[in-house]
Formats: sequence, structure tokens, C-alpha cells
Amino acid sequence: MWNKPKQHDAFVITITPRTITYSHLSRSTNEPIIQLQSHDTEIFDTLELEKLIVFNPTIVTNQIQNHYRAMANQSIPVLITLNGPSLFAKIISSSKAHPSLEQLNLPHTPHMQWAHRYLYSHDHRHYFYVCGLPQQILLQFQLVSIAAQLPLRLISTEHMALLHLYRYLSGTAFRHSELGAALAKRNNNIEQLFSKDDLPRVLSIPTSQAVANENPISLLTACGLFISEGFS
Amino acid sequence: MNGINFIKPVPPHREREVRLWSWFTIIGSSSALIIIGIYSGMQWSLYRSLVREKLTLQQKLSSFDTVLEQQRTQTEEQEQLQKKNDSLAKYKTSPKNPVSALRSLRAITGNGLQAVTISKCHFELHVICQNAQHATICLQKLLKESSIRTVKLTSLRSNQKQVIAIFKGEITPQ
Repeated sequence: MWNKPKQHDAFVITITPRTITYSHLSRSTNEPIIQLQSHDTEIFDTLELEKLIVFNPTIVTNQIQNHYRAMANQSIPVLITLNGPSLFAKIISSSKAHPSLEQLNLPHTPHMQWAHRYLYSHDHRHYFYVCGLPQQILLQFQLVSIAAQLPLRLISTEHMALLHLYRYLSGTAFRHSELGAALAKRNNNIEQLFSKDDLPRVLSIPTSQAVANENPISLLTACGLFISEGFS
Repeated sequence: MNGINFIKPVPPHREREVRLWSWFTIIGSSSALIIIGIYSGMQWSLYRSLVREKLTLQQKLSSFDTVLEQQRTQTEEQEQLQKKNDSLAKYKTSPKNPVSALRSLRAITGNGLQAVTISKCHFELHVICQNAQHATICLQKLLKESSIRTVKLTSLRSNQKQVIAIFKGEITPQ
């Protein structure tokens, strides 16, 4: 029976301390590569957004809503990734293979929401990516999405999106030990896991989109988030 | 490697289920309301028609009370008349009825009988006779009558060319 190819769409918002990047990504089931439908970056210079804290929710909400309506003409899911000094993101080692949050020697901060994922093991130590997000920042972006009437599906960190992309690019050859070796070479800097050739492997950028001067990390992050949501 | 999501969104399939159930609920509720409305409308229509019919019948039967009262009064009158009639019939057939005796007195005295007074068994007759002989004949006829036990001529006085005879006696009890 003839099956109509299904297209997955997502609107990825990458939020850094002073910028918000909007990417409309889509992928058809019969195409191996993600399509960049639209892309835009907005810089907030007058303290509307500072260190992930929204000081002017009206402007930020309107900007996000306008971009969403302009780029996505239908109700597609919204994925948000955060990066900045307000976030706690670190690779922590533990002697236990399945430690709890209390066993990871995290600072006592009850106002933060914590999460961790296993990365690799080395010398009888297990390394985990641990991230913490203040509850008020999480709440404010949820409120912004409610005010902008966005179908928010996910809020994650930039590093987690990049780790997902790394695993996707490695394919079936992915090994946790190989990830550990690559991270050790780059001093646990997750952004440096990618080269310039990685972006064209995963993302098709139409010529109409002027992204030559863009930081490729934001596009890689958008692709990683798109993949992590199961649209790959 | 599972992703990190700081929020817990409603999964799309759950959204679809909720939307489906919402539509089912809305359609079901609307259908139920429409059915209830139609049924209530039919009942209301029936109620209105019954009220109208009741008013019409009330107007038609407004004189029924008067007719009924008249019938009741006439029934009572008829019952009273029937009682009287029964009483008369009973009296007529009773053994103390002096009708037969009066009929005999009337036959004996003829057209000369002027007055009759009856008190229980006693009677008094005022008879106009042509003369004293005729009064005597009348007395003899009365004495021969079986329904009369005793009779006597108590008075005889002349009145112009005629004679008024007064007879007193007793009627034979039957």
C-alpha cells in the first residue's frame, strides 16, 4: 500500500543570556536529513532578557509569538533549550554506576531542579552530565509560553541537545567509551565535539536562508533538540 | 541516552485522547440535551393541549351545576309526592277507610244529601227529604245497609216545603 510520507515539524527556541534564536526544522520520513525552514536570531540589548531572566515579559512574549506565527503557520510543537550562567551544567564523576542526586555531591540548592545522565566510565569512575535549572527560570519560560500560546513540549539544556546530536551523528558506532575519549581530548567541552562538516551532514540549509555568519552551535543545538524529541 | 526535559508536557497521544473525549462529551451532551428538549417539548405541547381542552370542557359544563341542582330538587319533590301518594294509597286500602260506607250513604240518600260528618266510626247525615214519610223510608234503607251498624233519626225539621232530617249512627268496622 502506498504510504504518504509524514512530515515532522518543530519550532526550536535557543535561549542564551542575551539572545533568542528561532529555528523552524522539519523532516519528512522519506528524507535522511533535516530541513531548515526558517531561522532568525534576536539580540536583546536593553535588558529585556539578561542571564536567562526575563525582565520585560511583554516584549519577550510578543517577539516569541510574532516569530512563531511568522515562521510556523500551523500549531507545531515548541522546543526550548537554555544556556547561560544561571544554569548549572557540569560533568561529575562518581564511584557508583547508578548514583542518586544526593550521591553526586551537588550543592544544596532546593530552589533548583536537577537532572543527570550517564556519559561514560573511565578508571572505575563513572561520569555523568549533571544540570540544574532554577525553578523561577523554569516557571517564567512556562508562563511566557502560556502567554504566547505556544504548544511547549520540551525545555532542556544546550549541552544535552549537543550530546544527543553527537550520538545521532555517531549512529550505530556510538560507544560511551568513545564519547569519554573525545570529551577527554577536549577537556570535557561538549561544544568542541563537533567540526564544521558536521552541520551539513545533519541539516540542509536552503540558499534563501542567510546563516553564513551564524554561530553553528545554535543550529547544531536546534538539530540535537529536534532529534532528541524523536523526530529523527 | 534519554533526554532531559524539565517539564512534563501532555503527550500528543494523550492530547488526542483528551480531544476525542472532549468531542464525545460535547456531542453526547448536546445529543442528550436535544433529546431531552424534544421530549420535554412534546410533553409541554401535550400539557398545553390538555389545558385548552380542560378550559373548553369547563366552559361547556358551566351550566351543569344548575341543571344538577334542579334535578336534585325535582328528585326530592318527586320523592315527597311519591310518599304522599303511597300514604294515600295505603289509606285507601286500609280497613278503616269509610269510602265504601260513604258510597252506600250517597246511594241511599240520593241528591238530598247536604252534609256528612264522620268522626271515627260515628257519622252524621243532613238529608233534605220531601216529607217525613220520605225521611222514614230513608231511615229504613239505612237500617238495612250492612255497612252501617246503628242509625237513628235524631232531628227532623221543616224547611219551606221540604224537611231536613238529621241521622246519627255508627259505621260497621271492616
